[in-house]
Amino acid sequence: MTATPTILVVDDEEQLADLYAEWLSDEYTVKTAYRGQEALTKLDSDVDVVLLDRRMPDIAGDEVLETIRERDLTCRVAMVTAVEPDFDIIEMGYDDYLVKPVDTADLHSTVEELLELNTYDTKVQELYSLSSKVATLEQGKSESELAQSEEYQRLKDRLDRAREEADTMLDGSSAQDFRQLF
Amino acid sequence: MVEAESESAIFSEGVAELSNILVLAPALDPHEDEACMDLSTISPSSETAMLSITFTQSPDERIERWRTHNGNEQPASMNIISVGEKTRSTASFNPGLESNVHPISIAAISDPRDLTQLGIEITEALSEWQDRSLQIVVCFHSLTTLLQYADLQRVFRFLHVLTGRMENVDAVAHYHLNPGAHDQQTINTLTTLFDAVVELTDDDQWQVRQRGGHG
Repeated sequence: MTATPTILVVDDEEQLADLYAEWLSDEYTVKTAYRGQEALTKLDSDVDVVLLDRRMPDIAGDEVLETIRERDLTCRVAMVTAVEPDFDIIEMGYDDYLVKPVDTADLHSTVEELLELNTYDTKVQELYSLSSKVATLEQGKSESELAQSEEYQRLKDRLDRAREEADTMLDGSSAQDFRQLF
Repeated sequence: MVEAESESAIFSEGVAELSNILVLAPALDPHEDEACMDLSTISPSSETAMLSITFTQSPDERIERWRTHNGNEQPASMNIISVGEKTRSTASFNPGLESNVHPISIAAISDPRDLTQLGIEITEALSEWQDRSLQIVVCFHSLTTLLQYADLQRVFRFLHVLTGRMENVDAVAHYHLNPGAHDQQTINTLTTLFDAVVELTDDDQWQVRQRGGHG
């Protein structure tokens, strides 16, 4: 991600939405929406992270989330809720949640983590596609043929680099990775 | 960590330095068992913590296989994660072991497509052993079955996280794959994720390829 990431803040309490937006605007491009419907129209492939209020008068956050997943958008979603989420929404497919009241530190660290997940996704995707290319070249060729192929060696070098980059992005200990990545 | 000498017939040396090993052999072939047991018994039983993830067999069958090869010598700790519906429920599980042996803990995941749950269970099993200086060995049986429930890309992503986890706890984990059930492209793509590949050759010998071994 070279460009400035884009965050969409969705909350029907306009002042709150504006406050979050102000906090985040020092580092990110921020869009705001005060209604679920408005959120859906502002959502496009540029949005990297959505901060989504769960209770809204027109379309609830839950439904907005469902639509995001249906549309197959790659953005990460943090639900902003008044209470700790219960089992009812654990299966809903959000990536993280924030419990109100939210302060600027919470907001920044959540957004940062979610952006890192996106970067990790991109890296693993790259690792997968390089592995797949290497696999194709390896078929039907002997080791000595491969050793002489410059294309193969170049791909292997890129593969090694991609693997190192992807590996260093995992913290390697918590179950959270599995929750967020699948 | 465990200082004891680690032993393996397949790897003449340094097996404990490997974290993730892909085992290519026909499913439930005697040779597959042989590799499985070899890689599960690299340290003395009393210093071993074993995690067995099984899609194909019931926990009893996995325990039985261990006993066939090792007699009554049990690992110091054993966790089994049983995935998918099986004919024998884990509730009626009875390994028939004497009462003075270490308890075996069993977790069941009914939906084999639920990689999140599987990942969480594995993480929990591993974290139980975090403060005990045991050699953790892991058997994943099998990737062939997992690939029936998730596409290659999803499995790849899952394994990337999982193999990182194994490395983190200094486990020696092996993953079974039946090469006859997949095309070469699939096998080669997955190979990237492992430190070593162990393959049964046509004349029933084990061939070992370690990462960085060529190319």
